[in-house]
Amino acid sequence: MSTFAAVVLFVGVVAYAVLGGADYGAGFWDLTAGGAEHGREPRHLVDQSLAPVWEANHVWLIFCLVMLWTGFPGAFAAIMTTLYVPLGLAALGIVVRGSGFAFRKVVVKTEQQRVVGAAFAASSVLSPFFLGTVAGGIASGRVPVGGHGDAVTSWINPTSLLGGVLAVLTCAFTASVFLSAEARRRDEPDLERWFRLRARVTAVVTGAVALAGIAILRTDAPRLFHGLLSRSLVLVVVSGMCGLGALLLVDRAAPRLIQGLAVGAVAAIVVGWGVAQYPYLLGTHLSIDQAAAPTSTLVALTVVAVAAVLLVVPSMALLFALQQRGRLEV
Amino acid sequence: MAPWPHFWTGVPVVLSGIGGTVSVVAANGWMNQPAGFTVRDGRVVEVDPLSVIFNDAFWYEALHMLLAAYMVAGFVVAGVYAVGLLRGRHDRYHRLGMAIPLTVAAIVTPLQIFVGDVAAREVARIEPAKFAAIEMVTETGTHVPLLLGGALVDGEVRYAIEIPSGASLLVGYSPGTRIEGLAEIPAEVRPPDRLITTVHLAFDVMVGIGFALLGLSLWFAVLWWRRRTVPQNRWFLRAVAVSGALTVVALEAGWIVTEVGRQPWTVVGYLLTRDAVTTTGNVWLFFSATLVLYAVVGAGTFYVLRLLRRRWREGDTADADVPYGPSRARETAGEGAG
Repeated sequence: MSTFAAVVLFVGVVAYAVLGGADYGAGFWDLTAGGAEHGREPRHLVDQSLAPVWEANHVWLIFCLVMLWTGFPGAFAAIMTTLYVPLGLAALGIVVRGSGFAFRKVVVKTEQQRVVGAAFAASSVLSPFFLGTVAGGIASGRVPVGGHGDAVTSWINPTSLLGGVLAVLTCAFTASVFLSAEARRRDEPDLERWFRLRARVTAVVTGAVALAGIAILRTDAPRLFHGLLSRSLVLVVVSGMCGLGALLLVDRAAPRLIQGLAVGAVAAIVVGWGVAQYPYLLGTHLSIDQAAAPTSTLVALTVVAVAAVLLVVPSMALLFALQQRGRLEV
Repeated sequence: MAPWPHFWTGVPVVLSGIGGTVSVVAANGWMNQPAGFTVRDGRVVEVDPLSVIFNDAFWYEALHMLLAAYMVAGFVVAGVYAVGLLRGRHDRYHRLGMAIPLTVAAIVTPLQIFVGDVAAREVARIEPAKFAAIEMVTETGTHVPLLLGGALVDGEVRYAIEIPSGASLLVGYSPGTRIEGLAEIPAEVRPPDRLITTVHLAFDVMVGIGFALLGLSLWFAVLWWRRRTVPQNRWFLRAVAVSGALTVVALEAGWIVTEVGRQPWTVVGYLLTRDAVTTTGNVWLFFSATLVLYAVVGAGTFYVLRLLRRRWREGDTADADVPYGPSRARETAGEGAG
């Protein structure tokens, strides 16, 4: 039962990594799009494709948090009391990001747009970075069972920094693939090329960082390292293949296929992390079973979560379908 | 979008709004009346989710909050349009904008006062400590007076208007009704005087505003009954304009009653607030940072709303949808003009 609840929780993590990731990544490209004149077109596309979905994508974060504190309250308390600094900064980023995005659509003066737009874009990079450091802290076993771990080294350490950088890169990669497909759908070849180039660059950089990361994990998080190279090896390979496929096919294949490959690359590596860490929730010292709430709570929680997924997934599918068909333009 | 699909898209919002309200209040009710779990060796071992949700405080708290939400929404929206009407915008949009939410709120208000009355009696029955704070009852006894205003200073009631036997009458319909006083609470978990004063005054504010809104609802009914049109009486419109802010104050006061009234407990009988609060440092830093952040976002929202209003007035409804530069629409319009 506790394993099933953990799987449901992890489904939320994967969904957030992919959907929230694409969302944050769009902000990354907004940030790096250059000056007002130069970056106008890419920003316009980011704005148009993000507006209808950006709130929906963050539903998954709430889903994960509720699953975690209800299903695994001890682990939740341990994570919160240890990693409160990066979590607080990520939350700050999420609030600033939402407000910045909403305000930018309304203000008209370029200077004002620049301020709120920069707030949106910068926090789009900071939030996934801090969430990545949180994942790194958990994965490398730096959150003690009783909580109140080191507030600094729990997230400023090799694995966390790797997690943070990889999070930002994968967000940027997914977003550039999605946005280049979106540009093609809108028949804007210049824009498509703009994002395709960036998809290629981020794919190469992400791959390089991931390879370098193997060395980091080997010394800093040996258990995760062994898990990734034994039990999760298939998933790691799948992730790499998907990334490579997207890199090679980005200007040839149908937009849908490339998007699928990008999603596959991100999802496979996140699932790989989960599989490598199983059966532990925190590092190698708190198992899923030990951290779980009483069975009746898990049953109730799982029923509600499955009902929520059944309700939310079709509505989100409809939302994305309408958005991709361009039916949500104002 | 076609009218009916548009209408139906609103239905899930209503349902999940009610579901969300009820769930949040269920959690709060459980903190007041914990039920449905077994603690063994300091760990929660068995949980009965249905008893947890439908705890003793659930029904009156959930209903009270749900009606409060409709009152707040009704009076706030009506208040906005009342301001519009006062500024001379008498079109159908403004008249309906005030009349529809005001009608909902006016129907809900008397129901709310009835539910609130039932809730207060339930609190007296199952949360006697909170009730003692609400009415500032110091000693257990009969013929307990109803106190309006005032404060508890060094354990003595000061400056309050007394209605003899009022509290006893309201709780049990008879002056002989016995009400437990603050003296019954063990000294180590008895809230300090200033908290009791806070709870009592918050309760008075909530009830006072509730009756003022009942008066406004009756006024609306009379005006409607006599004229059969949306009232244009300026004093009435001013009252509606103020009612929005007042309902928000009443709502917050009600939450102060239930939250401060539970102190020193977070979960009554199980968890003291001082044990519940995190021992990790930097609480004040995080708290102040949150306040500053929301103050900035709040100010930003205010500014943006004013901007939207000005733009709407000028008849320019086109969204400035291109960040960091003039929109394409405007460029082409400029070219066309040139």
